[in-house]
Amino acid sequence: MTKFLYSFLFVAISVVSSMAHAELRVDVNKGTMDPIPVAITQFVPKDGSNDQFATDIPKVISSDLESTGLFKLINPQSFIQDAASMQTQIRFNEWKAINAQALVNGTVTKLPDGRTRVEFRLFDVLGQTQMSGMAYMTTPQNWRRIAHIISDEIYKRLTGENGYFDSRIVYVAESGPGVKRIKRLAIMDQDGANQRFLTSGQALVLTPRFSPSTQTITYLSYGTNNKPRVYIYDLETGRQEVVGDFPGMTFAPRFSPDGNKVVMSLSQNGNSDIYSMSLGGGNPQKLTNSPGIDTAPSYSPDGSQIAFESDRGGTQQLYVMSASGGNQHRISFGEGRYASPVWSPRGDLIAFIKMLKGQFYLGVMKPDGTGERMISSAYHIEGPTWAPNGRVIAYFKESPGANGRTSKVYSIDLTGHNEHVLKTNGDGSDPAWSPLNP
Amino acid sequence: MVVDHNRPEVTEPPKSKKALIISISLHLVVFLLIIFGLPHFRTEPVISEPVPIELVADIGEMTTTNKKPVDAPKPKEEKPPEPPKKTEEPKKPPEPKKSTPEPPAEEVLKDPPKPDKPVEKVDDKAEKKIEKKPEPKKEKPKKTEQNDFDSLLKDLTPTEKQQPDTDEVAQKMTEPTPAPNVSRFADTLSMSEMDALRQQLSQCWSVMAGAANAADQVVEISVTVNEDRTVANAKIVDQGKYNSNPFFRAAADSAMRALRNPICTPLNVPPNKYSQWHQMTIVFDPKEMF
Repeated sequence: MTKFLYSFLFVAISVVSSMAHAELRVDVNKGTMDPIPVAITQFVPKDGSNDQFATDIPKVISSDLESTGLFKLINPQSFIQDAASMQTQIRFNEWKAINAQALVNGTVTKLPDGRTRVEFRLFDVLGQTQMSGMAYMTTPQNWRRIAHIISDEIYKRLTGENGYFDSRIVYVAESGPGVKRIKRLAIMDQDGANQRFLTSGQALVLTPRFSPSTQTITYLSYGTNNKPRVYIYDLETGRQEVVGDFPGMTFAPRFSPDGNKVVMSLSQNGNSDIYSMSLGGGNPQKLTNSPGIDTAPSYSPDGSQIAFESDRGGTQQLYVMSASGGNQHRISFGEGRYASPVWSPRGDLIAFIKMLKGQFYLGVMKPDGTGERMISSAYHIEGPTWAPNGRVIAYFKESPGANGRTSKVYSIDLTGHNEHVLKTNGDGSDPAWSPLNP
Repeated sequence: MVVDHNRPEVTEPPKSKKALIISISLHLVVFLLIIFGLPHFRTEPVISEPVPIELVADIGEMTTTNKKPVDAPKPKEEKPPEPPKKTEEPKKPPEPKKSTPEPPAEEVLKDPPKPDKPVEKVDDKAEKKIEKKPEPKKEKPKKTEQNDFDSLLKDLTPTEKQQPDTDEVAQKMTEPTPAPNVSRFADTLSMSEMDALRQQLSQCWSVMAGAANAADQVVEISVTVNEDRTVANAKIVDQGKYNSNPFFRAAADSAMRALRNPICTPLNVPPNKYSQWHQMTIVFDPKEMF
């Protein structure tokens, strides 16, 4: 009996004791997608540096961050503390009062050797801490790149993902009426600055693709002899050359992740198959061998697999195979037809185009075909390409107009939010995003 | 033997003289170097094109900024809870003040010479919430996972089901779900009280929906709350992950911003149950939204 009482007392004390120490636990399972309010001040010019940079660099940073839809820029007119006084002390309460959660300031200094030193600091206003601070030096003409690099740093610190602002987009610039449409390769910074043409427009060019690791582009050109061929273009040297010498038509080229191979379609006698070819030489390797049309190959970021489209099953669908051509299996099973798969640099998603009930859609799905979502739709959508961080997709939409069709390049966040037009030189199509600039 | 022995003495200059010559020469060279400097063997480095951008430094924290709050998510921090920065008088009972709250901007402008002084800010909205506690929504049918997924990640697929419009989505995203994981001690706070706190925090929490593995970024924060319901100390529980995983760090920072957000200050908890909520763990878990 005594034993029983002792046992009972021991259990009771244990329970009461553990209850006394139990801590309240609150699970928050819902949130918002509200953008982070960010205040970006003018940078402070030092030692006779160019005042213009002190104004322009924060402008570019603001534009970069705002374009993502993840940040809400606070109107500088509401700032209470001036930029100069922030060099000695940040009055966080004044930034909190205007609802800023992140704060960016910086300085621009002209160095004796003519170069410019740009510093920035990112602060957590509510936490009253510095989150990041970097200094860069370069020649003054590189000021836009400095601004993009700073934007990348801020983006990375606040979202955890690498940025994509210091990158470029190559695209096909279109001009002229429908029958005499001139298509030229053009390149620009991802924000539409520094536009320039790469080809003269004498030959029709299509489907430019950036190498994920080098400053090289591959594309389809009809050349001066009107014979469609896959070319590569070295942006640093300006040199172009044909990839391989095939008897049939080659098209839909795309680089391997290391930039050493090109995978593309070769059409012969009404049958299209996928080939890979080393740019260092050697024979092309045939990867598919089906009676239908196999095309639009795209490597996974680790180079081990290739997504492609094929009509071998009767309708246009998406497939995945190993990089050597083995284990070919279908991944799209929804309604409609699927085309143009492009593997995300992050590896977690494949972007594609879907045609359903007379409408075109831009969609994403996991590499195993699950989680399919349509994030944009239009009369005609084509050419998805991922930003180097795998977060944003660029593509183009065509729409019929009074003077023929018009074509605009768009970008969208993979969540399906923040769709907007990218600035191109005239009409634009077939965008291809570069890796981060070297 | 004799000849051999004498030869060096005759044919070679005396060693001391040679050393003297060398010494004078070297001194002369040094002297000339001091006057004229080093010859220009090295030219300034020529920067090749394309001009590289050089990362000069990872700038440390400004030493002149305001002192950090006690709840900065640094591993080393284990400071005792200090009086919160933005509090009303901590000793006062946490009853809603009747005095008229001023707009934040005006309050700050009033006090520019003392930037370190915390701005007094009375969040009368939050106070009111306590007065009229929201009724529990226990009977509300639970939404499907699919609806939550739609709300964060858009899907334009034409289906029979009606796609929620943006406003509806925003509304849905801030609605609290029934507590899935409340400790056995939760009966000390009623369901409606727990819901009120959850709803308040969900309005302040911005989820990084498109980030890689966003659904897996579950952030636990250990929070010490002052009697006036302001956060005295908040600490990310998994400091190792915070310091090594940039995605988690961003998610954790976002959760910390939610806790410090003026809209969520003071916390929406019943003032008379201080002993229940003065120390708690708040878990920001976005899994159900994906």
